[in-house]
Amino acid sequence: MFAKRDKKYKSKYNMAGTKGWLENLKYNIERYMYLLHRITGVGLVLYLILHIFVTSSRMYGVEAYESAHGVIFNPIFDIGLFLVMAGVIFHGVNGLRLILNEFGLLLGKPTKPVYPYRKVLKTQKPRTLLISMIIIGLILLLIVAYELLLVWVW
Amino acid sequence: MSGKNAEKTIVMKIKRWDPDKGEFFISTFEIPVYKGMTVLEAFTYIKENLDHSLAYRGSCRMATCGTCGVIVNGKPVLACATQILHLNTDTIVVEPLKNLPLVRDLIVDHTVFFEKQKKIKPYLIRRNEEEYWDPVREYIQTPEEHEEYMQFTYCLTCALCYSACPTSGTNMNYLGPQALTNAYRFIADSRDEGTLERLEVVDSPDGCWGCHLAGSCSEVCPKGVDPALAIQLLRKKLAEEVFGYLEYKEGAKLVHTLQVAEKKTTRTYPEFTVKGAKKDVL
Ligand code: HEM
Ligand code: SF4
Ligand code: SF4
Ligand code: FES
Repeated sequence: MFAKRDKKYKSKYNMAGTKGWLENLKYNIERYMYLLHRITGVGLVLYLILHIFVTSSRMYGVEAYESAHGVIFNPIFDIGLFLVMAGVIFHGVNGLRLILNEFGLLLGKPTKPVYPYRKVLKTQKPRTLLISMIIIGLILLLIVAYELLLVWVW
Repeated sequence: MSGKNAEKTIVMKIKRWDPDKGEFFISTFEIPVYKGMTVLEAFTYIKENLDHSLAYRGSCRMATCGTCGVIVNGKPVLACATQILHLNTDTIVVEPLKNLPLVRDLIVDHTVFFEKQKKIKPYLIRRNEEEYWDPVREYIQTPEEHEEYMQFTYCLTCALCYSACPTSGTNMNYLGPQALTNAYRFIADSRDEGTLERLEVVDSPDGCWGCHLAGSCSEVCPKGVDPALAIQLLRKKLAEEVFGYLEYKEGAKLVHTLQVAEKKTTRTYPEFTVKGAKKDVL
């Protein structure tokens, strides 16, 4: 706009860009959740590709499948699998929270803007939802850890 | 400034945009701070005493006009509503707001931001054009109906939310928290009949589906508008429309037409106090 008026004038969009995802984090927990949901979402897609790659070895016969699994039968990969499961659990549980809240459910109604101002995400209903989801996630994670450890204890 | 005792001296680093070179540079100033001094007053102090070339914007200096938004120590705030001593640091870093075009130093161009607000038709839409352009009375609205959207009318169009939102940061076409909130403000208004028109505008990845409920907009909003709430409620409306549950909302009637219905409801309306007022009603 201004550039048209004066060619010498240099303007630019001061876009925060992807770096901006790391900003404004500390004010509310939902912003961390937003970031983690993205990271786990992309992580799961990458895992899915890897997963398909490994299981598709079955196409080259039982031996290829067995040897591919031989590589994976290793504590390091189990730690990896644990991380993937942690990602799945976070993404799934937080995804449920997002589905509910993003359709305007469990949020409550607008209020009169009286100081100190209310932020709905910090009120009881959405906070209870978030904390319950964290608890459910942690329980699931413990079960996964137990199952994975069993393999090595046996 | 004179006559007030400085409590301490702070260092203010200002990230400034140079429109001639097309790059940022940083200026550092030492500022004596008195009790109650705001960031906006510090800019004025710099301009009067240290560097006349500093460009910033401010007008009402009481959190009403929404022009003085800047980023202070990483958080988008109104410079006039931020007291330096409340920040509890000796070094303050100030930057221009993000996601908008830079003009000079701390000044950004809000034009795109206002254009987005225009897109959602921020005015009452009525089916009856004749009545709309030639109104004889105001539309009736109860206090409860007013409360449905009152919170969202407090917006100053300061663009702090627009600067904090991670979606606005990566998608230039995203309508942004402010415009989407404004769309809901009108949809929730009992006098409005433009729900479908507005839902059409916001039903896109650049509209309310671009929001990921990061909630930063509500954190930085200086007026308690809570855009994160408005956008989710807007989505609820959109979902209702998609699944066919959206009730057609007939806009509130003019005061006089409701007078006729008065007998059926328990609502009471004030008597006309102006003589002859009833004449032009019917
Ligand atoms: C357990 C079931 C799952 C649920 C309930 C779920 C839920 C969601 C929700 C609600 C979103 C939108 C988030 C937002 O609005 O910001 C989302 C985004 C996403 N999901 Fe899932 N998801 C699940 C499984 C998966 C799986 C298995 C993958 C990968 C193969 C995946 C990949 C993604 C990606 C890449 C995104 C985009 C991330 C973003 O835009 O921030 N999801 N998921
Ligand atoms: S809640 Fe939505 S609009 Fe608000 S900052 Fe987050 S993504 Fe942006
Ligand atoms: S919603 Fe709040 S932060 Fe956003 S423009 Fe309006 S007053 Fe500013
Ligand atoms: S100067 Fe008007 S809002 Fe700050």
